[in-house]
Amino acid sequence: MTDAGYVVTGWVLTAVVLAGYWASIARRTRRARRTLPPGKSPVPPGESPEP
Amino acid sequence: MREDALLNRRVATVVGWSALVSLAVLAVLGLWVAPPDAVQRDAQRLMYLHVPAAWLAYLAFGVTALGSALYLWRRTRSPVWDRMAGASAEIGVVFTALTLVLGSLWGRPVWGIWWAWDARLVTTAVLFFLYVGYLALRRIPGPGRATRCAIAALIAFVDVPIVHFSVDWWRTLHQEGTVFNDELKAQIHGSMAFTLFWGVLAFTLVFVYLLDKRYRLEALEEGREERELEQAIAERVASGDAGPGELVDSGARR
Repeated sequence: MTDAGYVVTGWVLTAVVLAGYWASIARRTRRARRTLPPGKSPVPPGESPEP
Repeated sequence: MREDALLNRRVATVVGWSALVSLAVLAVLGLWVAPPDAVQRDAQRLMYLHVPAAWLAYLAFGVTALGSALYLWRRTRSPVWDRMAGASAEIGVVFTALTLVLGSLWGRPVWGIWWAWDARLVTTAVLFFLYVGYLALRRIPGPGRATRCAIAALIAFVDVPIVHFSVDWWRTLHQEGTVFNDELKAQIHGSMAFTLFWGVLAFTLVFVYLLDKRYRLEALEEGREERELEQAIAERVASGDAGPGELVDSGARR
């Protein structure tokens, strides 16, 4: 592999890890929200209530 | 401090978009604007990811240690610090793994090998496994869970300065610190230095954004576990298997 090959692999891998981790948090958050009893959600979809 | 989130909606949105734009700018700077290195040629462009990823891992484990210390100190004890420690540790583990892989990708063209039993590499791998262990410990319920985890986090943090100073304390294949090394008096091209600092800034914004998201998840999951525990206790009490006091003592999460 050329230098450029290692560089592109590194940058693509970083993008995949960042996007994948963000997606993993979003997926786990949706799943956790689904288990909340109706009307008990402390955090409405997309946002938390103001203090 | 709010219990369910670290940032309010507007701030979180601004930080998220700022992080995304900063990363896009970093890609342009790192891949096109900064010149290739005189010795390492284009392979050196991995530095603009490897160094910020390592910085982010240090930062994340530092926040974990701080949160753990604040949890252990009676005057500041709050579940907020325990959640923050757990959320930050997971981010740190992800970026420590990324640091190791990026370092390996950089080492192959420059050193000719993917891995060496070098002090910096080994202590970083140890750091990764220490915090994987910490995350596993967090998943074990029972009385004193948060206290146990806070102590473990502080012990694990001892490895962070060892990782950082390993290149000074031992002879290593990994290069010493360069930019702030007065003895080396390294001459770094202005656009290369700017790109490196931009990378650190971009990854710091990524950390703040991810920490808020991960903290919210931690709060939601904690609430779910508590509800499941209460439900299980109620079911067992209703079935007459055990007294409520006995179940609460054995099942308390924190």
